[in-house]
Amino acid sequence: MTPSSFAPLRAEVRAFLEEQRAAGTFVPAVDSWLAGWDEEFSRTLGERGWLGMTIPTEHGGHGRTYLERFVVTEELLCAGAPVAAHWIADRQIAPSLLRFGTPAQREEFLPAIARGTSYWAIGMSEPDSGSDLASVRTRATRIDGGWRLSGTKVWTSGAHRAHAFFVLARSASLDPAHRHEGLTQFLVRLDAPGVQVNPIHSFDGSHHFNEVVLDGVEVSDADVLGEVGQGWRQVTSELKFERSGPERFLSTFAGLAGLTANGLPVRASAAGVGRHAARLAALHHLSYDVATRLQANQPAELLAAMVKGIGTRSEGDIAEDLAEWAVDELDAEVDRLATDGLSRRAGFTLRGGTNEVLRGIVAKGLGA
Amino acid sequence: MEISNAGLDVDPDFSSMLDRLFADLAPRTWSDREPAGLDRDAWRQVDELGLTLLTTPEDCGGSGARWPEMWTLHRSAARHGVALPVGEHDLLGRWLADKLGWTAGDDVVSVGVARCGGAVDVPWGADVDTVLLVEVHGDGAAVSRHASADLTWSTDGRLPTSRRARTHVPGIAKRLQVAPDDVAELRLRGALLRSVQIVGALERCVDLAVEHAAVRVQFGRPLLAFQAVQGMLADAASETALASAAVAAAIREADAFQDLRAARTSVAVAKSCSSHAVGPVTRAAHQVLGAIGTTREHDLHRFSMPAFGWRGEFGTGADWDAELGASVDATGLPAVWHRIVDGLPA
Ligand SMILES: Cc1cc2nc3c(=O)[nH]c(=O)nc-3n(C[C@H](O)[C@H](O)[C@H](O)COP(=O)(O)OP(=O)(O)OC[C@H]3O[C@@H](n4cnc5c(N)ncnc54)[C@H](O)[C@@H]3O)c2cc1C
Repeated sequence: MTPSSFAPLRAEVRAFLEEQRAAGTFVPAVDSWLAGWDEEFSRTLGERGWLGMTIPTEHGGHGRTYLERFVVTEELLCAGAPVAAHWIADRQIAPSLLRFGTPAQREEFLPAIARGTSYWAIGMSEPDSGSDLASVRTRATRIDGGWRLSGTKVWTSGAHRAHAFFVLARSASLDPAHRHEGLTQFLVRLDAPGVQVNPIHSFDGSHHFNEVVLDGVEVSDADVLGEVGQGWRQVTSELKFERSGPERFLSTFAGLAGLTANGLPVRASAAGVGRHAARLAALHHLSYDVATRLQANQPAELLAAMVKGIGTRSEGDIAEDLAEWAVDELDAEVDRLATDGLSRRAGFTLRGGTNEVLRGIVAKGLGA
Repeated sequence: MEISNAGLDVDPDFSSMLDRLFADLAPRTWSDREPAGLDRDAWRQVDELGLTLLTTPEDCGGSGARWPEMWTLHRSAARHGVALPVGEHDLLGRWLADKLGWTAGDDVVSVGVARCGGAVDVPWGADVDTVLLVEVHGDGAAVSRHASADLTWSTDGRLPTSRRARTHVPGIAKRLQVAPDDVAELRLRGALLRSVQIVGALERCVDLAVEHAAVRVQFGRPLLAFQAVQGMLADAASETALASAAVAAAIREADAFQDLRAARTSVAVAKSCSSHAVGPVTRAAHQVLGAIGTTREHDLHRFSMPAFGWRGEFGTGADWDAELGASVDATGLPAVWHRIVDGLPA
């Protein structure tokens, strides 16, 4: 498959996005995969067959390749379209359910994810467990026919609107010599009794993530994801999907496109703009390379960590330049793209594993 | 670093043959005496394998290979630090000579593009047999052909390991006109060659740094155990992988379109990213190597210094950035971006 063989699919997505934009369905935004929540838009994408693309048809998906999904998501991100509602479900919940889910879990969720009607969040981080994820303290205690969950998750993006989330919890007491053992993933419905979602406001006033308190939430054995005690292995396998995609370098693309839509801003040099364009292009190629490996079941962890490390830094560098170029720009829309980019910038290099931790992963891959 | 060919169709046997050949041959091409000269024995050995005219069409006496083979050859040569003007000869000198109908026989040929005033830097200028000097003017360019021995060369101010030499275009010389398209193609060929070579050299810089960090012990631990060192190596490897992905994409397009000018956006991206990677990657590698890396005895400079030289040739990173920026100015980012991701000719 050469990149040019996807040109017709790209053209189809572009035409659709152009139409939607012209109809006023959305206004291009930066960071739209985290903050652009629009359930109707997600359903429309589902109708088009652009969600759950890699889910096999017998599970309600479209049986298409990672590369096709890559192409479609890249187009959506470049347009700054509101894709947050389904993003996590489509990107990482679906592949995890396919790999580790029971037939009942797949049947319940995969067709709805492909339709764009099932929204998910990720319950990994906790107040005292950030980079050191294996230290999570949310407890899963055995009860008759299931588990009782108690603890607090934090920074849970979209939990105030999502239907369910994957919770990583400690299901056996901590053995300091084997910290990665004894962890289990659970499917938890966010409207279950004992779940309380408290908003956390970002400094720009936006509300995208939350604190989620689990106060003795009871889940059944049918809600265990994969194997009890295998949570760490499962979570790390999720990460290669989470880390390498085009959202790790395109979060500010709509801003760069917006600020240069009518020629370069007077404060920008051609070389300054071109350098960002060149770097984004290279990131596209590298990330596409990872998607090719995922498709072929080849190891991709090292490259995925590289894409995220340098990609998130680049999208942040763009945000910084946009803010500088936007000085003296009078168009409010352009201003908004630039200020949103700068406000969100700090999160780029944190979410999904901070860049310092990623560097360690890359160095280990090199030295091994 | 793991060698990724990013989906390029490269014959693994060709690749491993080159690695064996160059590992053995490279040290012979390193001469620390001045003037270094061209190792004619090494040249003959490479020539007999059909590698000095790898991409030259068969009807012009070459091997008629394509861009993926070119990528394999020059990346491998640069990874091993082979100091021979193979790229200058095959991709630039003979290409231009053949275009102009000049027969070059067994001469080793290099090309220099003059700046205004007539000063011209020629890679390997003093060491090859024939030199083509290109003078760009408003609409196209004039090319003159010279025996290297007939020109006066200065090697003042060149980087360590560099074989570029400076001369002046003689006032009186027979000149042939070349079309603007050919001048543009010459620059693209040079830029793509240098991008490939930079990738090979930077990969070796990272390898040398990682190998050193694994065995050098300080404070009772190998350097690789220190997080600050890990960070430098990870960043260097990531920048190198990024450049490699960009260059491989340009190679793929050049091969698919059979016309380098149709791939010019991707060549711009490749030269930009490879050139911008040189500073950070070599800085990290030299930092990790410590004092030993600053010596003639250690090989690191045989990779870091050429990379700096190549960075400045056939358009700097900033030059190509400015061209891309001008396209964004003229057509908007989406149009430029679509050309890149669609993989369709310009
Ligand atoms: C916008 C956004 C959305 C998010 N969404 C979610 C979500 O939906 N679900 C979820 O579970 N989590 C989410 N997160 C949380 C994210 O995964 C964490 O922020 C991240 O793992 C880092 O944890 P921390 O913030 O506690 O920082 P800490 O772990 O406290 O680290 C702070 C800093 O210390 C340094 N540091 C820490 N450890 C090391 C080390 N070993 N070596 C070197 N330096 C180190 C790094 O510089 C790091 O940036 C989100 C975060 C953001 C910003």
